[in-house]
Amino acid sequence: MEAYSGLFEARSGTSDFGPSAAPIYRPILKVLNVSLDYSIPVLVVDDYQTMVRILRNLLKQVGFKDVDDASDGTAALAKLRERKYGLVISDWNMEPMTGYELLQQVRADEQLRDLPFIMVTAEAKTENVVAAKKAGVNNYIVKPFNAQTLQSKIAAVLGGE
Amino acid sequence: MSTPKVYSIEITGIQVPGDAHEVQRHTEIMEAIASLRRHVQPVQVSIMSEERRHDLLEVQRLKAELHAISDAIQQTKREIATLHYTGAQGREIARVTDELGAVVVGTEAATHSILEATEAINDISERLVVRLADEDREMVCQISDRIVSIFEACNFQDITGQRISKVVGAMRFVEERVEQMIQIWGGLESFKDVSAAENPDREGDRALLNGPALEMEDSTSQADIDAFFK
Repeated sequence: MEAYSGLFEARSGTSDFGPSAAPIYRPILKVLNVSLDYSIPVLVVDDYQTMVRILRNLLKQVGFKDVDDASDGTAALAKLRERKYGLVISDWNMEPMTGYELLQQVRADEQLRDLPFIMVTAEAKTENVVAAKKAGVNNYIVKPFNAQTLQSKIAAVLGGE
Repeated sequence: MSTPKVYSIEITGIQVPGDAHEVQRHTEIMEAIASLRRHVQPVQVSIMSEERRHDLLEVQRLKAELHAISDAIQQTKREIATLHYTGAQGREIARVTDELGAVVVGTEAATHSILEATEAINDISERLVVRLADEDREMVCQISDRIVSIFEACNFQDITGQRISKVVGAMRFVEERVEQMIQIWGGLESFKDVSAAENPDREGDRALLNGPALEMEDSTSQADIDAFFK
C-alpha cells in the first residue's frame, strides 16, 4: 500500500495538494515503489496544439500542474536553457528541429544531459526506438496512448526504474 | 537489279575470219558463254530477291515498330497533358489537397471544442469532489475517469493530421514527377498541340452529388435555405 500512498491520498482529497485542488486519477496497474515530485516543471514539445493540450490535461490529471510547451525542438532548447525543467515530453516529427535532434542536443549539453526525456510519437518502427534509446531517451510512448501508459512511463522515469 | 551486260560479239555473232578450226573454236566458246549466262542469271536473281526480301521485311518491321513507338509517345503525351491540365495543375489535385486541408482544419477545430468542454467539466468536477462525500464523491471520480477517456480519444486528431500530411506529400511527389516528365518531353511548348482527355461531366441526378463545400466555394447558408421554405 505504501507504493500507492501518494495516489490514494490524492484520490481521497487529503494529500499535500490540498482539498481545493485534489487531482483525481486512476491508480496505475503496476506497483511501483516510488514517490514522485509532482511540483517539477514539465516541458511538452509538440507542433500540434491539440496534442499539447491533451498532454497538459493528462499531466494535470496525473498531478503535474506546472506544464510549459514548445512547438518544435529549437524553441524547446531555448526554453530548456532558460529554465530548469524536471521532465521533457517530446514528439519526434517537428520542424525545423525534430524531437530526435532535440534529444541529441540535450544529451550533448553539459547542463541538460541528465534531464529525464520521454519521447511520445507516432513513429513506431523498431529502428526509431533503437535510435532514440541509443541517443539516450529514458522512455518511449507510441501514439495513440492512454493516460495509464503516460502515468506509468513517467513514474518509471522519475522513480529511477 | 541492272541487267547483265551483253557484249556486242554475242549480238552480232561476228564471224571470225580464219580457218574452220578457228571458227569452230569461236562458236564453242560463245556457246559456252551463253550456257554459263543461263546458269548464272537465275541464281543471282534468287539470291538478290532473298536478301532484298529480308531487307524489305526488316524495313517493314522497323517501320511498324516506329509507328508503335510514335503512337505510344503520343498516347503518353496525351496522358501527361491530361494530368497536367486537369490533374496536377488543374482542378482535380488542387481540389483534393484543399479537401484534405479542410479535413485537418475541421477536425482540429472540433477537437479543440471537445477539449474545451471537457476541461470545463473537469474543473467543475474538481470543485465538486471536495464538497461531496461517500457515494456522491465516488460518482464524481467516475466522471473524472470518463474525462480522461475523452482526452485519450482526442489523440485521433494528431494521428489523422499526420496521415493526411503523408498523403499530401505523396501527391506533391506525383505532381513533381509529372513536371519532370513534361520537361523530358521538351517542356510545355511541346504539349500545346496535344489535347487532354476530358472527364465526362456527370449528368442528370448525378450532377447534384457534390459533397460538402469548401470554404472558398459558393454555398447556400441555412438562413437562405429557410427562406425558400417560407
